[in-house]
Amino acid sequence: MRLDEKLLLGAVGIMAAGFVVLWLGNLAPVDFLFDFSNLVQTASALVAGTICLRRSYRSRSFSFSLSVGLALLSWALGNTFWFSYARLFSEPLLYPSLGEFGFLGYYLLILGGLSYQIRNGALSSSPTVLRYLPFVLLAIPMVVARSPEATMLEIAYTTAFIISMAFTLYQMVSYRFGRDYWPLFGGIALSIFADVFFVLDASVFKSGFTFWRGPFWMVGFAVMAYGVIALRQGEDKKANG
Amino acid sequence: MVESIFLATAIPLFFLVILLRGEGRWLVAFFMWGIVAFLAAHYSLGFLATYLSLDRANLTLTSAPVLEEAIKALPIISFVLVRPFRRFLAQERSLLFFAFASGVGFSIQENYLYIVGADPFRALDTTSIAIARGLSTSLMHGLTTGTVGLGVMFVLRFQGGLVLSMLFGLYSLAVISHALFNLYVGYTEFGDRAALVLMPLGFGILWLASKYILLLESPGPV
Repeated sequence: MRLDEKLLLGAVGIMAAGFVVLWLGNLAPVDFLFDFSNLVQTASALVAGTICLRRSYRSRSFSFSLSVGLALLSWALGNTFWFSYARLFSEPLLYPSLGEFGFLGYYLLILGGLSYQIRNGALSSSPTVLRYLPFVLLAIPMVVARSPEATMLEIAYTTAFIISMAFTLYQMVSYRFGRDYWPLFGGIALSIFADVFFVLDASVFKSGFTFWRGPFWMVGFAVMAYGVIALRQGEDKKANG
Repeated sequence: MVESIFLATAIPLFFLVILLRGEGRWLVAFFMWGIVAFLAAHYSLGFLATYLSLDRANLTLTSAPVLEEAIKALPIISFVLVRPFRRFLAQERSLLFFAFASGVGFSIQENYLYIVGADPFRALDTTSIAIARGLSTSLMHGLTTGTVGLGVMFVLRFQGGLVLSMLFGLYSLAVISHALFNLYVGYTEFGDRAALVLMPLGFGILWLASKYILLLESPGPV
């Protein structure tokens, strides 16, 4: 890993740890925690996206690294929009908002990128049940649809969002990817975990903004960047014999 | 006024399109599409504002980015979805130029409206509007549509991926970029000044990216 990448990812890690300390220790007011959490999440996505885009240069898996980099930038832009609106207008954006384009774009671009890496459609040795397990998430839009307060837009967006997450998980589990992909997939899984609970909080429990999800995104994106770096280093080793 | 500006631009361009051959014709045609897209977006947003009683924030931050990016990018996306169109492409790089032309055509029409609406006795107003919008909003429109064009170029070059997923992902990226631009330029004090720096920088990045992608072979998955 290059020095600047270590420094950037290290800085993100320190800020994420700092947030957790401030939050769990009740050491800062809620407004500050809200701002700090969103800033660190956005910074993590931006740093990770920039690293992935830079690492795509002259890479054998250029299309994949580029897609992951653009996906992270999309997430960063979506969160910047959501957070900026809340601060500028002193009111939160109701779910779903235009900011969701950034979050949905994140999964669609990862899906597209993964599809370039599927080697001749070779399936992994995972049991069939495990491969289709991600589609259990489709129960969430069904629960949302049953709510009398749910709007058509909310149902449609939640369905699209959950399908994109479920299909991403399905691809990760079903096809044969090498061990080099595990850190990257670990990072994606962390972001999916946080997003599933975001959707549940926003549309089922209606519990508003909660702080505990933030570190999952912060760490998840940093791990994804590390995963792309590891992939690239694996490629370079193979190329150099 | 919108219709007059449209006709004054479209009629001469139409004759130019007839005269041209090859990719030059396509480039001007896409530029023309941009001005048509502006007219379509103008009417659509006017309809939404009137019949759905949308306020300025809703229009500029939600409806406009979604509608405008979809209409501007429509012909570019058709190169992916309609195979026979690809024979008109001499090289994939052209898609970036076409997409950028579409965005620029759109924004030039929009610029005319702003200039016409400015105080006619204050020449500095109209000049500063023209320069500021030329370096910020016009580039933004070109960049967002150019991003979709770059992505379509990339999808055509590297066959075999989930095309619709990539296309909608790129469209989402264009929409959120546009919305973020509108939010900061329209609702903050520093946004317009920041845009004057960031948009030319973004153009530089797009230009470098297009040069690099052309050099690539299609390596396939690792």
